Amino acid sequence: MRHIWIIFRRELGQYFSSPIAYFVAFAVLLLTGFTFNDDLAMRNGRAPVDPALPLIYLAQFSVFFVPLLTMRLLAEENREGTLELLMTLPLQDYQIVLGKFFGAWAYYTVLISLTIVHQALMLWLNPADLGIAFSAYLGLWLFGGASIAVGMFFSALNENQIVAAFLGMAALLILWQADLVGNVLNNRPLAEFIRSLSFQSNYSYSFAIGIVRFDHTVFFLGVMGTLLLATTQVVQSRRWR
Amino acid sequence: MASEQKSQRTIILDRLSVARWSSTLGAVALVIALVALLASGELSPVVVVSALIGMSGLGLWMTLAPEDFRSTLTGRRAVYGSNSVLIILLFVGIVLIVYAMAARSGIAADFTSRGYYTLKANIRPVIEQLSRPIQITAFYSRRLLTNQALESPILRLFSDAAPNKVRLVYADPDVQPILARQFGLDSAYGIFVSYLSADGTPDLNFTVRVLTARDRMPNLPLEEDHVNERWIAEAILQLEARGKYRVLFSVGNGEVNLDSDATGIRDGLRNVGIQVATIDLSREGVPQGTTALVILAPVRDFTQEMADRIAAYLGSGGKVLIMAEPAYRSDIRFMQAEDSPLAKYLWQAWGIRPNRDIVFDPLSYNETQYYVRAAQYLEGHPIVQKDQTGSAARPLFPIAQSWQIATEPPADVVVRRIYTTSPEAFGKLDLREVARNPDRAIREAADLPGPLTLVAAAENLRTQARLLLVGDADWVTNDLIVAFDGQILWTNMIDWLTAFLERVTIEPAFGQLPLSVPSRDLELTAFITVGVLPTAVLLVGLWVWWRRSRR
Repeated sequence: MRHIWIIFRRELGQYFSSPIAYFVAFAVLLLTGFTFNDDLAMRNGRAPVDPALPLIYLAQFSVFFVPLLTMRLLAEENREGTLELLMTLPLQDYQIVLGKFFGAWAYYTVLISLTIVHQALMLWLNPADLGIAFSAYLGLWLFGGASIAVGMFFSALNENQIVAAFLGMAALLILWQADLVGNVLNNRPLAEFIRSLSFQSNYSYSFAIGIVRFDHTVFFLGVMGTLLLATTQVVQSRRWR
Repeated sequence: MASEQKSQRTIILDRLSVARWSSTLGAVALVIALVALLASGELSPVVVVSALIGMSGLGLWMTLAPEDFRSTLTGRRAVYGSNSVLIILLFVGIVLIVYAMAARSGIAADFTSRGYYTLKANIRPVIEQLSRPIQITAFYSRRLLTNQALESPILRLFSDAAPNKVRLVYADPDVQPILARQFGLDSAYGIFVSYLSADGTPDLNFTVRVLTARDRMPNLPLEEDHVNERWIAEAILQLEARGKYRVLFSVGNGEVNLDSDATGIRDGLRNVGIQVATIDLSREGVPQGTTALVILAPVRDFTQEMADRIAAYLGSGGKVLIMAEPAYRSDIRFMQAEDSPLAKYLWQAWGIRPNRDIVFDPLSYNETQYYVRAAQYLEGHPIVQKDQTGSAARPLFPIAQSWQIATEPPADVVVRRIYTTSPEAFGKLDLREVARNPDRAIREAADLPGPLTLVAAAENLRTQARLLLVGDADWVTNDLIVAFDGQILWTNMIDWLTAFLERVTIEPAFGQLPLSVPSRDLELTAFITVGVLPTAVLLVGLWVWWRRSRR
């Protein structure tokens, strides 16, 4: 546990000492701010506010910005040869992976925490359902963890950060859009199965509407677990390749 | 020079390279075959051809380079690699099992402050005390999988509340067109509640379609159509009402024709599962099991025998609705004579009788003073409730008579004036004079003074009998029922008599007010969220970059 903690602190420190992470946060907050205000202007005088809406937008943006956060996690270490150095230390491979994962997840948590400002403003404008906001944040947090695990897996597979980011984005986009698979597939059982693997269907129709479902929680935790295990296996493969 | 060398580069094809290329090609072809099989669900030509190419490729690899094949399967990388794959597959299997168990358990926490995904306290007993097990059949086409996902938490509220009494089944009308036709579904979406037969199949004779948002707003796109907890509960109640609620309309005395002039109220009752039938009181008494008897403006007066049958029914706790037109036509005789048996009974047993007048209300009318609009109502009475905000329905009675209510009603009887005219109204007793001078609606000394009772409701506290009297019947005809809250009044009257919908009163799930803020507040919000917050993060980033560059 101590080893994971050391790696975690190192990774988190790297995020806050790198300008890239701040630029990503700037872009995300700017985009979320635009969509949030656009939605408020549209609802004014017509409909009540929806505390989950800025978070659904944030989840959509996560598809693109999470791979930017994870692309360097293992790809950079691979390219610069520092992964070998890490592997010579008295560390288990899973400890390296978990430490890096929790570092990225912690940064993501800080980032989504900044949007509490949006919730506070919404509360100031019109009483909103805080229960829905809480459940939407919980879901977004799990969603972020699963997205980071996906991005990290591709970072472990590649030495090139750009390729890792691109593959991560493509995978997350497919996982998000899989919700619409029913429109293109004739095989309904298969369409339903693929839909059940969609990040959107596991977030937008449960957490984002105020209901925390056990199966959807298991889904995100399962995706995290599976991909972290796969990432560990990829890192471990360097020992026997 | 370099490009010349490149173009002159020879490609050497040896056994090993051909074998490896064919193995790659074979693996790709097998993956394509698998994906095509899963997508189409059948052995299509693409599946077969890809599978053949795949197997041929792998076969070629095994034939041309058996050593390479063997070493790939037994080498160090293969052993470690397959170990890794197996570990991941095992983990995925465990996750899938836990996921399936979690999905089956239906465990969920409702965080909405209004408990939108929690079965309302007054619906739960309805579900738990269902007389027979039911099936909720929800049809969603492939295109509407998202709608299914959005509605499944609401549908599951019912099946989770009583799993042994409520079964939830999803179906695709495109995949099961015969089943959809059996339910009478002709679109991509529809939800039905049915009793289950002894063999476990839905009983189509006892099936009610849940009204959806599109039934209320026909212009709504199919993709936005939806149901809510209340509408599903109402459909279940309608199913439960089938065969249990029976409303009889008296015939044979010149009443309003239910099959031509008042089909709206007849169909309205049938649509909610209430049985509608007719009865000729001159031939038979009101049978047992009748929920309510409706007497819809007869022309001829009822005989003593008929009045006795009504008295017997009310005496046993029956519910009766009488609508009596004033005698504005010479043939209208219903309760117009002083010695009318029914009028005498009503006065003696209930303390109410018709005034035999025509009501004019100079303060509350529509188009003509003959069309009296109810000016006052008994606040809080269920018959006048328009909606859940507490506002009242104000019906219009075209040519109405009023009711006299005894100052001291008979024992155990409570009489209430539900709708009355304004104090300025008056009741003309000389109907012949009104017929001679139809345009002369002036208050005279001989007239009955307002406010006059247009609708009265009486209840016998001992027998639980209920009697509802209305001084007009035109308002329930097809042309007029849709105007001036007529439908609401009709529904409320039937509800009051039969207690049909008393079991379900659900507050609207989303009663939240729309956002309504001045533009300066929105500008301040935009300034903070688009300006201050991202800029602050950017400035910190720039500071970090500047500090790093100085090192």
